[in-house]
Amino acid sequence: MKKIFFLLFLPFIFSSCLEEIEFDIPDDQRDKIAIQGKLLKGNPSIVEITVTSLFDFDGVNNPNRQAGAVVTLHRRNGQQIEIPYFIPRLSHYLEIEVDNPDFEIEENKEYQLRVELADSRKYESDWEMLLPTPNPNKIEIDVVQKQGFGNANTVEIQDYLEVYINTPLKANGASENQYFFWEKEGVHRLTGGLSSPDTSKICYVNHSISNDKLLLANGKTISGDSASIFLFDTRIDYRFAQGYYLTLYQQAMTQNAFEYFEKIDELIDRDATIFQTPAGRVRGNIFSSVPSEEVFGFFYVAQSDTIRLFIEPQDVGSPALFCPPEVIPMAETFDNYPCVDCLFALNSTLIKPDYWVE
Amino acid sequence: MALKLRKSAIDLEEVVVEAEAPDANIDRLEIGVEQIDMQQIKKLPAVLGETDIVKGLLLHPGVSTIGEGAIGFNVRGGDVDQNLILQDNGVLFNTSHALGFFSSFNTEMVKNVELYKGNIPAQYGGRIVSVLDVQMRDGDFNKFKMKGGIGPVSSRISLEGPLQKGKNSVLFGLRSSYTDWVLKQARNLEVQNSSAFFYDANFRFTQRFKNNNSLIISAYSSDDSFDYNETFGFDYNTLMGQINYKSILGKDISSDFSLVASQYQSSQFDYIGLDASELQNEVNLIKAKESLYIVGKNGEEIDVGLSSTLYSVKVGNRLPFGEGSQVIPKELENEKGLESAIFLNASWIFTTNLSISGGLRLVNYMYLGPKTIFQYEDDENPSLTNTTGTILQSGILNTYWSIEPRFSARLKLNPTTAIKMGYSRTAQFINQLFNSDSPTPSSQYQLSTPYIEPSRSHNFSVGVFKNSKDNNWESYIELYGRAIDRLVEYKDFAQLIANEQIETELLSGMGRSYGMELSVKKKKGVYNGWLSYTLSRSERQVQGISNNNWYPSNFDQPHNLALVFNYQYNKRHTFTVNFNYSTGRPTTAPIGNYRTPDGLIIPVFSERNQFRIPDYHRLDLAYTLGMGYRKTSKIKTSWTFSVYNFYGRRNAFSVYFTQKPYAPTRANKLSILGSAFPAVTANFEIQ
Repeated sequence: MKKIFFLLFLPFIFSSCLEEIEFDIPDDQRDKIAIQGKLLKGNPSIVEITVTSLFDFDGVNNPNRQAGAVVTLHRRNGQQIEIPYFIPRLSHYLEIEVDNPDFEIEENKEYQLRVELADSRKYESDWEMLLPTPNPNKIEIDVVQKQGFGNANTVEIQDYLEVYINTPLKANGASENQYFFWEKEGVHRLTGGLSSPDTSKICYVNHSISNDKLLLANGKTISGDSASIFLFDTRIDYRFAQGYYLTLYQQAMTQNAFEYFEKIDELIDRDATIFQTPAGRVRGNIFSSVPSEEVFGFFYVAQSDTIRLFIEPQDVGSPALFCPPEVIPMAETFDNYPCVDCLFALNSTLIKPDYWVE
Repeated sequence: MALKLRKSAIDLEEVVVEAEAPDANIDRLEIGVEQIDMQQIKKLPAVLGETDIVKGLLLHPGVSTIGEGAIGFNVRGGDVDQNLILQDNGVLFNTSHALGFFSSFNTEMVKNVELYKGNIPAQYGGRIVSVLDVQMRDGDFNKFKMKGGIGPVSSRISLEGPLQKGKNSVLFGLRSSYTDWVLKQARNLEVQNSSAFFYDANFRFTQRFKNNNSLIISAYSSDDSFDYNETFGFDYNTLMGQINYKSILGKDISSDFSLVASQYQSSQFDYIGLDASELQNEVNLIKAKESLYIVGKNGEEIDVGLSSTLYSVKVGNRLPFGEGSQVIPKELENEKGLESAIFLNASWIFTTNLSISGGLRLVNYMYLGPKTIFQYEDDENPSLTNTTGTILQSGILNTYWSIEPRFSARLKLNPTTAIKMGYSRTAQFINQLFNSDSPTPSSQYQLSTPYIEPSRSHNFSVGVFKNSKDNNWESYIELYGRAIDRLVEYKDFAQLIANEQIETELLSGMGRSYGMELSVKKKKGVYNGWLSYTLSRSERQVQGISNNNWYPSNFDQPHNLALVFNYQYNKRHTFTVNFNYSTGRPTTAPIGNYRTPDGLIIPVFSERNQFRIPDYHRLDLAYTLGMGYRKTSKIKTSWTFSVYNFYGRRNAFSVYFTQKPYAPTRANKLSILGSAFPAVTANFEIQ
């Protein structure tokens, strides 16, 4: 359902407004535990879990890692494997090879997460079924024009890239359409210092497209065996000036997991509408051994299928570079560092991704 | 010169004298009744100059709203759909135009408005909180008139007159909007590409017979449609027809029979994409009512009668819209219910000072088939996971009875002071489902079913009424309480759209509200006006919400103040100031966050309604230049100049919490009105 109504009505549209206010929230939730993670079947399969306490709603304190937590992954047949803490990712992280005989990752099998904290508090998830995921057919893109605000806060027409995924709605053997979740990744190329291009220096910048909207689709509400599903749109800007690789990870998940993420999506993608569903408390599938203790988070399992699309600059109207060549970079301004050296861009590397083929 | 006069008999035209005693508020038996002064309503500052009954109601104690743009109104902390809205004998399901900015009543057509806030006479039923009884006026029986008004976004016109002088009258009223020119002024192109329109039309024919009987045939139609940049839109309309026959059966007995047919339809459209769809809802009603009014030898007044209402509800169809849509059509079975009642209400004057009114309403409600009923392992807690199957049933699927005693008493301590009290038991068999701050025009209606029991309420009131200065000053203080069983509440993230197992998204609980209402009014004089203040609480307790503890309802506003001040230099010139204040209503807020391995920050929200949005206050001004004094003028005009929200207060309708990547969560307030709104309205009358 699209976000309805509010934008309307009448002259009020001219003066209605959304403005930031101070809101006094007590910071008494810091002792509550959140466990969030996933098992993604692939080659290799990966397991990644975070075990933290809550942090304040305004982000004053950081997530407090529960040091010493023992995290184990279990399979119904009795196999189990410990997931160690992996410092570079600030999480419990493990890659499991396809042919690992000690812990097999298979479709239509159930898995469970168990966590024991250093203070002996114990938590476990519901058993989650690993469902097969249909292979997506292709990524489709479209360039559209939308109204937006320019740098001088003036209304202007801007180019946007709309991204769709064309996919079967059920995997082989599945009896009905499935629930889908996508993760996305964008990498764009940046050459040298842009104001004085050094073409010998090529950076690859991993760019988060957006983090405030989950990509979900309920296949059960879509007719037919396949569909072209709108996923997201993004402004066409300097990221697309020298080549852009879009990667989507398609996952089919259980109804429980889908409903959890659907609720989370409602919480993080809230519009300023007077008719929006009120926020609420989302209960996950992880429970404490002490029934009265409230614990947050969800553990889900899925087969992850990867699909990529290389977007040439000319596909999207050849947008301008990050720094127009005539602009003399001001090195003391952080934002302009990439104009001097592309490695100054956030999440930039000289290592070309192995999938990068033009 | 001497003139000799001779006696002669001539037939005079009928003169109808209607007036209210200056101490009617003391004499009236019922407690908790607000009578709306239509003349005053027309002078109040209004949004874009559009005179509005519902906005006028909000200036009385115990009546509130959650903000501009909200549909309907809340009485003593009750829900919007717990008010019975009557236009004569017909039931209206939506009283709002333009998402709640205007009400659907054309004030030009209205004779009288009464709001029963708690103690409801036995003649009324079907809602647990209040009854808004809007009586429409007859047209002129003797001459033709045309009245109208022109405002910035809408205009109205009415025509009236007799077909046979003195015997009958016809009244026709039309009100329509022309908002597109306003939308074109928007800075936003998408708004410029949008359209909005509403109209309402009233027709009333009244025939008087020689035996003093009368027949009234009336019709009402309204429609709202919106289209936002060809992206989404909606349309909702009401169609209602009534026949009313009033007859004098004897010296002390009269009859009032009415037959009403009413339909409310709404559609909501998403035009674009794979999920382009149309959501349809509809509720139909056919109601017959017969009541007898009997006056006893000792002045007793008895109302006795019966009524029957057949509901037919389309509870929500979702259909694909356009060729590209891949939405799976979902058409739910219609629901039917029959609500029948017999009622008796009697008033006795025991002594000059003591009067008592007692009544009983006996209601039978039947949920009718054919209908597919879902079966659950535990009928008390239906859920998707404990669904065991379905069964197709016909005939009467479920029956509920409701015995509803009503009682009022008035004790006059002296000619200007009275103590009143009242009690009523009420039940409600139809609810509007909306899991948002405000219902939408397309929020569905839901009948009581085997799994959704009717809500029932005990309503208590007691108060002291005092007049002074020759009844020019009226004041009262009332204490009230309400206890509701089987209140319909929603699970977090309830999915209400086209859900054939709607009972799995609902919870049943208890509600309570209590408070004190204070009103002081000066009726006449160069300076007049009134002050209303309400101190109240409205709370709920539902298993599964807020750890099963009592929590504030969405409409809990402990302090509510309204001040209306008129400076009436003479009958033609009136300057009006209106000030409103209310406590911010409850909201649910994030109290913490956690982060996924991918960096997604997930907020954890508080239990329901544990915080409050900022308080509301607003000042409005109006100057009315009334019609001229010359009675011989064929054309009379009046003008109202008003400024709504004079100091441009950006009152919060809601508080929203937003997060951006790599940034902490922030609280934002949504203001529907962000500035002052001046308006000029011209009214005319041609006769």
